[in-house]
Amino acid sequence: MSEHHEQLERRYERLLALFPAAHRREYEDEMMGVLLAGAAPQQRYPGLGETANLIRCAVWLRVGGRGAGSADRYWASAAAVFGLVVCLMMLTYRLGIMGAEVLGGWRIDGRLLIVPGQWWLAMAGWTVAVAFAFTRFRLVAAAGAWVAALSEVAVEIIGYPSWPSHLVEVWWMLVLSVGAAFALTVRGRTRPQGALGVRRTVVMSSAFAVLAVLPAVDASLAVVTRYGDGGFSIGALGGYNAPGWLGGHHVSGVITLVPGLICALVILYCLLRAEAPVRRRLVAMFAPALALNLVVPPVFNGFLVSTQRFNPPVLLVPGQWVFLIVFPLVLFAVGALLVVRGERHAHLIELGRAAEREARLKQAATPS
Amino acid sequence: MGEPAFLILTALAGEPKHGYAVIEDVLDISGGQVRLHTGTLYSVLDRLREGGLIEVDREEIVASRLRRYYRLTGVGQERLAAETVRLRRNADAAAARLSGFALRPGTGAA
Repeated sequence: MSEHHEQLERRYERLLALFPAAHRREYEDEMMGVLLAGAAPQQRYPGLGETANLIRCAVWLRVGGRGAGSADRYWASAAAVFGLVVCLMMLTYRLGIMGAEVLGGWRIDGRLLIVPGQWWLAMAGWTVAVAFAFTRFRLVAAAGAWVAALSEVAVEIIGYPSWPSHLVEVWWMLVLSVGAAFALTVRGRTRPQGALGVRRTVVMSSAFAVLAVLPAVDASLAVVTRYGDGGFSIGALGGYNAPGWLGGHHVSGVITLVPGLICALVILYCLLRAEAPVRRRLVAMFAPALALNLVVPPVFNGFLVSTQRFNPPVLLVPGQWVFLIVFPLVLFAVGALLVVRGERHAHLIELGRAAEREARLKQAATPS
Repeated sequence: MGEPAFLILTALAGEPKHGYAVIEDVLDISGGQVRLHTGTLYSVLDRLREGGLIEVDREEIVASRLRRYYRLTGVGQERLAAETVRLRRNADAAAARLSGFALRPGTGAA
């Protein structure tokens, strides 16, 4: 090979490095062959048109455009599943609270409570997001999720000056909500049933539907005990007998807890049955919120316990805000990096094994 | 189906071809009008493979580099045939309109 071609090859290598790893793995060798075959004898630099085309195609594939490599398709599949699961989770959460409060209120004094208006927008958004997450209408699903997520955030921000501890407690849910809206925006035309399978998607969605109605069933079957002084207590089957309204929390007993646990296990099983690359990416996506859920109570223990004792309550300091915002972002970035590196490592090992096998076969075939 | 995909399928309809042969054949088919860049070629090839319209026929090593030959699948053949009918219908419609356009007074060729 001439010195000119070596220089040209190095320059093409740099351009091809812009393509996603999966695409490079599949086509880099071939593309280099084609690029060099099309080069003039003394050419040292890639042509302007070829360079622009390579950059444009690489960027297009990087942002998940059509023709993206298989690794990027796994991210798109995981984003579609993550988006759907979180939207279902949030909708289930909101419907569960609404059902328990409306029916619990009706059990106590025979009146149907009106769900606070602040949650209607979020519920509408989650409903639209769930309905369209199964379809290729990416923008409609994403718009629904963004409306719902921003509505959830706005309600918490508005209530923050008077109830800061609540914002910290539900921060992981806000992270999940915004993450789901982002995931549904970038999933492309990928649908969750493609990654989970239609049957498992139906089973998982049905499990969420059961979870959504269980609190309402629990509340409607709860035992209400009335006292002579006008007081009352309400106790779900197998649950606490809560005087008054237990600070606004709905009652939950055996009906919610046992089938609820079974439904949660069914959902987990459906997710675990996704193919391994999608499963790894789902872990990276869920890890920030799960870690926040575990880490916030001990780390913010002093804040959570004491803030409401002051009037007005003590607010978060800048360092705490930085932690709440940066921690999940860093955790996701680290998780994504580990997934990519781990898969690259596994691929290299596989390549090495294949080369060893081939060498052994050649050796065996060579007549001694 | 975009023009590059149509031309690549047409190039592969004859016999299995490797990437550079596809570029040359597309240039020939299009009368020198379409020269596919390598980035475009492999983005479209990947998409066509994913859609099951083409598949790898064989692989060989040439000058220490992998060379793959691609061929049309049955699905690809059907899609190409359907696209050809659609384009012919459009071209016939355009030709019919243009012939009428040329016969109208004041619109004929100068």
